[in-house]
Amino acid sequence: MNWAQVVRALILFVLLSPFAQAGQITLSVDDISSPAFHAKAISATLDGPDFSHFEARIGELSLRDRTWRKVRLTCVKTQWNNGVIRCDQGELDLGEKLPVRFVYQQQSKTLALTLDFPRGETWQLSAQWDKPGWNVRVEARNGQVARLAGFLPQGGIRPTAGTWSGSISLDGGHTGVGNVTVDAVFKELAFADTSGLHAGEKIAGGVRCDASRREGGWIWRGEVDWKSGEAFWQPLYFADGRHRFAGQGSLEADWLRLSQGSLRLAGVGEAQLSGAWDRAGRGLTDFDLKAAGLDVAGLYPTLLKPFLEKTAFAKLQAKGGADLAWRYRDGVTTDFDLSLRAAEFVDEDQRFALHGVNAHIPWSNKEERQAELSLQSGEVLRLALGETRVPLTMRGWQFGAPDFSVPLLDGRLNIDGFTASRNDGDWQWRFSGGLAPVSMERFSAALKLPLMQGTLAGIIPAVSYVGGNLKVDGALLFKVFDGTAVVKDLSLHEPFGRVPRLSATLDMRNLDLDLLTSAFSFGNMQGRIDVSVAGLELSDWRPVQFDAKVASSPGNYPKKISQKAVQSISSLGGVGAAAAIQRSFLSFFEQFGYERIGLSCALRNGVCLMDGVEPAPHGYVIVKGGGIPAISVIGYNHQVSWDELLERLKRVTQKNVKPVIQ
Amino acid sequence: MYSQILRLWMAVLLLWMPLLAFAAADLEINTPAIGSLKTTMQQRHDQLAGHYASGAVGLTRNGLVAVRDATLVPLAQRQAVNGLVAAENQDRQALYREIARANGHPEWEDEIRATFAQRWVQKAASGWWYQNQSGVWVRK
Repeated sequence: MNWAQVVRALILFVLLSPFAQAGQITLSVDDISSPAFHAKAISATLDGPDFSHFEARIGELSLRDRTWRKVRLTCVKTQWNNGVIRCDQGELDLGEKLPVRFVYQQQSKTLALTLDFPRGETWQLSAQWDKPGWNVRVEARNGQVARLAGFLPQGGIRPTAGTWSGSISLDGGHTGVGNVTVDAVFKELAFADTSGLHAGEKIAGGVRCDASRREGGWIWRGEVDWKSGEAFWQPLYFADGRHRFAGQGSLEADWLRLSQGSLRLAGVGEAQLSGAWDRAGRGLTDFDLKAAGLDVAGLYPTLLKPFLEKTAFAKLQAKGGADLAWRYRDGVTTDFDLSLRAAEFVDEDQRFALHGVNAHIPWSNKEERQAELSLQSGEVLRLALGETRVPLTMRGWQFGAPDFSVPLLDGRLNIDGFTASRNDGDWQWRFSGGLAPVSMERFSAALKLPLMQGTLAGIIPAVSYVGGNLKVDGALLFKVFDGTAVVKDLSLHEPFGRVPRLSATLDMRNLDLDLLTSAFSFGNMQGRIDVSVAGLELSDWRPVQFDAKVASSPGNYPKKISQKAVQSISSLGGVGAAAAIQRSFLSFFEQFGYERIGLSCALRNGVCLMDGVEPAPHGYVIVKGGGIPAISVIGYNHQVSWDELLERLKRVTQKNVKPVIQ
Repeated sequence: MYSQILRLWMAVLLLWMPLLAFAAADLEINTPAIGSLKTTMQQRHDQLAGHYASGAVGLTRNGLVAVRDATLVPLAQRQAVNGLVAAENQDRQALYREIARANGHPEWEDEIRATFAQRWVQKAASGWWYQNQSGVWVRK
């Protein structure tokens, strides 16, 4: 039995039933079913004067996923007149007792029902079901959205607070719903899923949407105006509103399509969208996006940063302008065209910075394309980069660049044969090149080292980056302090990771001690030295292990050591000869001759195991005297904590600080 | 008979060898990198402690941390908590790797991680949440 039949039966009972004379009519129905609802154990009673007292009971009423039990509708002043049933003062008991008014007109088959809640909340249901069609309209004023929660699918997003005003209309025929129209505004809306990963609070805005059934599905058109309020949609967070979406598309058995859409995000910009979502399980398969004039300062924190938390780009200050066109087909990006204008990316951990970035990257996964990148200035690991332009050839995820150079401090880093590729989501790249002279003054100042003189220049053999490891094949050759430096077996693991790890072997020959010692205000020394550092390992840019050795270079050259240098060396070795100088006639001399110098340090577990050119009673010789006046410096501490040694070095190399003689 | 017993003992010994070797790992070993990681983890702990206590963040069985119940975090902080958890996990993974390396055995990383997973739970305050061996969240 359907609902209309029940109502018709009631009216017939009132008008015709012989029981009417007895002053009471009772009707019982076991079950009523329709596609929209299901009701069981229904009974209706009419009694009182002119049958004005009406009471209906439903044992169980189900509407979509929501079920009420012991539903009761009573009306003490029911009016029956020419096929019209009117109740101006009724009560609906849905667990919560609600004032209700309704009018039913049998002729036109219309029902108008109004529920009045406290605090000005009103819900109105009007329905009309005459052949060939029917319509239902729900209107609300300050309606609590939480009342709709029970009508939504389990496990999804549910409204938890807030109100709405507006209307929802459905109409259709015997085949089902034909049109749906929604026009609603929200205040203080809150919603959430059970995990809390998709939620919104205090949202104000409006939704307008209409959908019509067509052969094979629905076509729809909608607008969402999010005026204020916050929302978290893992991993994105929108602190405030002023966002807007408008679009139209279709809904088919397995597909939700957006044929044309426009999304405006406050602080970011506006984008034109279209796409297709496979409801059968593949998710987003096709997507097109075009956006011009995006603000990188808003784009980065809102949409990019949350996806970059585990990368070197997780903490950037970004600004500039961007245009983007993105084409995605069958689950694969086929084209994108990114332009950056006057952009800046500055790492908050000061590992790198790029200023004045302009780029045009028209990428395709099938065709070869040319990209152009340029920056006005930058910085990598505190080393300043100058204006650079890089033309790039792209063949899918294979990138290549002709030889180009990057100004580095006052020199130039020449990069030859740069190639990069992306495999299984991981980038790898390689290049070779050279370093045109960089002044040691600029280099040492940039790295906050004591000012050094000379130049840094060299050849860079093949450098490759694979799986987070940067590796230099062959040897890096540099000219420093009028000598040569060779860096071999250089590899750098996760250079921008949490704990960068470097390993290398360093071999320096024929360094001019005069230049070296003047750089460190160590006390003047003249001569030449060789420095070798084998098995060097740095972790987080600090040494963990090495075998270092400093020794006089072979050959004939003047060998002089100043009194201050003697004191500095003595300080490094602990108790030394400095005190002896001060106590003896040697203090009259500013400089001494020496035959050779040698000092070694094997760093293990934070301790430097020290040795010199040869053993000495209770120690080792660091400077072996020679010539007139000559002096030998003896070290007595074979084991010195690395931190303590650094502290001593710091003390003796700082200007205007007197060496500490122990 | 004797040879069988001997073989059995040899087999038992071989099975225990890796564990015996690992038992020698110095978990308190300190290097500059480990010191730096511990410092940043201690600083971050002040920000995470409240979320451990509320149950929003818990200790996973693999020695990391995870957002257990985002609803316990105010909406405006959920993204920041995600960031804290990601940074903490990066530090924890680096810490296990560094301790293994400092011991001269990078291959011990997994065992060190497993040992730390137990340690974190032992040191956790009452009321904090952790994953048991089956991956089920349990309140301490």
